Amino acid sequence: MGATLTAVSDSANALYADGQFESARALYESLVEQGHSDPALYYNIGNCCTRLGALGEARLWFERALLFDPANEETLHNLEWLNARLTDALPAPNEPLLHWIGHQFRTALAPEQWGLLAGVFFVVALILLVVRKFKKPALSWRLPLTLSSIGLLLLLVAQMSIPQSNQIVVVSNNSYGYSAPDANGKRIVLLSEGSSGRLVRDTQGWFYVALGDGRQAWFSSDQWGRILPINGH
Amino acid sequence: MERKIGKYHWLWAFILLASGLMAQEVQLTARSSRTSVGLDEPFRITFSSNARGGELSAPNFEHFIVVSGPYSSQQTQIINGSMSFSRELTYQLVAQEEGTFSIGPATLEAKGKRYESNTLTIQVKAGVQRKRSSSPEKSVGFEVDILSSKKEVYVGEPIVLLFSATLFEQVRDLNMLQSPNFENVLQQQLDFEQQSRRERVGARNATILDFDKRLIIPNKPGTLGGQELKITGAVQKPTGRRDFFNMPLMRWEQEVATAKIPAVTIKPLPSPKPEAFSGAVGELELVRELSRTSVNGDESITLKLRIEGAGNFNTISVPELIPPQGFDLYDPKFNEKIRYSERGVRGFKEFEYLLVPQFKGQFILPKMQWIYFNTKKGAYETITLEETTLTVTGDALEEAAATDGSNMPKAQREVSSIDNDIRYLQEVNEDRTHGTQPLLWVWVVFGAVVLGWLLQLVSFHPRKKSPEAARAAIKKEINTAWKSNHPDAVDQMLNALEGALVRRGIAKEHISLSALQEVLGPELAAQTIDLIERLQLALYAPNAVGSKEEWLNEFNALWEQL
Repeated sequence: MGATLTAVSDSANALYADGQFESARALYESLVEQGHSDPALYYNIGNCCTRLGALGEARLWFERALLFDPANEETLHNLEWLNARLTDALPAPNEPLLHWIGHQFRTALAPEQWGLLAGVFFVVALILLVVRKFKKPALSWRLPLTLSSIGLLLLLVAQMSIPQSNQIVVVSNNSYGYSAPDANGKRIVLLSEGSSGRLVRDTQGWFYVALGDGRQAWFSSDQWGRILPINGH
Repeated sequence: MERKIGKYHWLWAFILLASGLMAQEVQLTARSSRTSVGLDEPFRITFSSNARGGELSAPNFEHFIVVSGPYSSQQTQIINGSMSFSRELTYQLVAQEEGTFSIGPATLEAKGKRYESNTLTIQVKAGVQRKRSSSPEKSVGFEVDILSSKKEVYVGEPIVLLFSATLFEQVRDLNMLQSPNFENVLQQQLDFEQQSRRERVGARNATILDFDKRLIIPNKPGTLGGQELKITGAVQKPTGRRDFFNMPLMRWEQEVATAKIPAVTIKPLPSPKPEAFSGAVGELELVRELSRTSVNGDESITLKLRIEGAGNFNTISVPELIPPQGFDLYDPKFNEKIRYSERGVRGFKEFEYLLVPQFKGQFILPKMQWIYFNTKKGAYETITLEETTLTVTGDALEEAAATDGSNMPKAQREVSSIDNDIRYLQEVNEDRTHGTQPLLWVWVVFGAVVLGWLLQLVSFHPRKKSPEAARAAIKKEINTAWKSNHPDAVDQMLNALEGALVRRGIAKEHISLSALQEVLGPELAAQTIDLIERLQLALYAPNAVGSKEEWLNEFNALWEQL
């Protein structure tokens, strides 16, 4: 699987360098469909979309890359570059507090790294407990209790830092917002490409979206892309 | 009376003559100087009528070109008192193509009646091939050619055609009978001054006259086609006779010359065409000019977007500007200057925009791309206008932006200074791939820790036997050891006794006769201390053990009492 990843990725890089952005994007996306979830992959797809002029989709992929790797400077730069060109796009509402806290933890360490730390503490505590039980009953209980508590705290941090997002992005040229999930309903807002919102509800081809300016409306789901899940992963 | 008659003699004669003429039947006939002609060979068609009045109309000369005419003439004859009148209408024609053609009847409207002439049939043959020959019998007065600047062009690439006549004789009244009507082209007549020069063509001296120059821009692939060029002129020819001064007598003879359309191949543009191909063909440049890139709040920027060079300017349109944010853009002014010359269609087309800043900050004038077909390179070429950063300064704009009533936050429209392009690709790494449940194993370890803590709360004490059973078990164990002469039998018995004393509250190091007496009584104490001392001795001197059975009986007896 690793060899395939490298080969396909290198081919896609070569196509990109040759200016064949559409083909490069197709290859990168095939890797995503295979289950690879390296943020660099999302970043590269975002680059292809940018070159192809699909700025809404580019934003979607850059946001995905940033979700998994929040401190990546290149992704931050490209997203800033993109935002400079999507000046008509509506920004997303503030993310929920837990998501924000998780984002901050993730900026320091990846969820796997937090989990690894918690695991180390747990293993040491477990060893001490076994020794105390079977070899040295006189061993103090305070040390394994402290280690277990720290491990539990780290595990909670790891769990919170797992990427979560209900943000969605307009990937078509524009998207009409309706008062009801019906194309014949009253149009109440028009959003341009790259606008973001928070998904409140999802029903049969319609998204009920909370917008950054406080309004809420129904939008056709064809015109939006969800940050998560990525192709059902 | 005679005088009266003589006075009116001429009047009567005129009335009689007129009435005689009036009584004549109206006739209308058509005749041709030749019924079989060659291509480019002029011939005459004459329509004759004996009617004095009325309107004589010639037919439509389809398949023929009128070289000269119409020449009209009329004649009145009085022969032997008989008076006749005729009038004629003459045309000089030349055939356009080979074949047998009919020239329809001429019509005459007279006295409210309509008269028609007979129909003429003319056979047109290829005729003698005109050659630039020196042979006097086949010499022609002049020839005409169309010279092309290129033999092969792309669609949209201009060609210059020069119309040139070669005059071998004295020629006058040179006239273009049929202009070459090129198909599927845009045609432009170039400003041109007729020029003539003397050259030697074959074995004859000739005057070369360049009389027309045209710029042709083909818009369909294939070969250049259309009607041929035909010119006519009067050529001075000798009559073979001489005048009084022995000078040859000359006459002017009408001739027609035809020039074929030059063989020019018009190639289609290579496929596949880029999606964003603008349709422009030539050697062109896309230029974007800015009057300034840094501007104060109360100033404006003039931006010119121009296509210049040589190309098919009549179909080129200037691409639309991708406007920068933060500026108001006014309707552009269009400027154009196009010159048609032998070097093609040259000039420029330009949109001139006025950008008025609305906010303070740095704004990006986006990158533009324009694709055209470069005829020199024979390939599509992309012209890229890179991004330009426009800087707007001035405090007045900040206030204006805050109070402009726009719902959009100011920060959203102000763009901070960033690099001009996105960063390059990142290396995709298998190790960085995220699992679906990355923390599962940690939770498993956490479960194990919880289990460890639960274990701490559970103690593994074996179920205690009753004291009697324990004593019986110890007694049984010692009896077995003694009977089997086990090397540890003495040690076991000593430990059992000491253990029993410990349970009675006498520590091992405090075992003495006096201590035992307090607890066990004098007799039992003496028996116990005696057996213990012997056993201790036996530990170091196994042979000191007397009758094993006796010692065992003593122990059993003591054990029951202890």
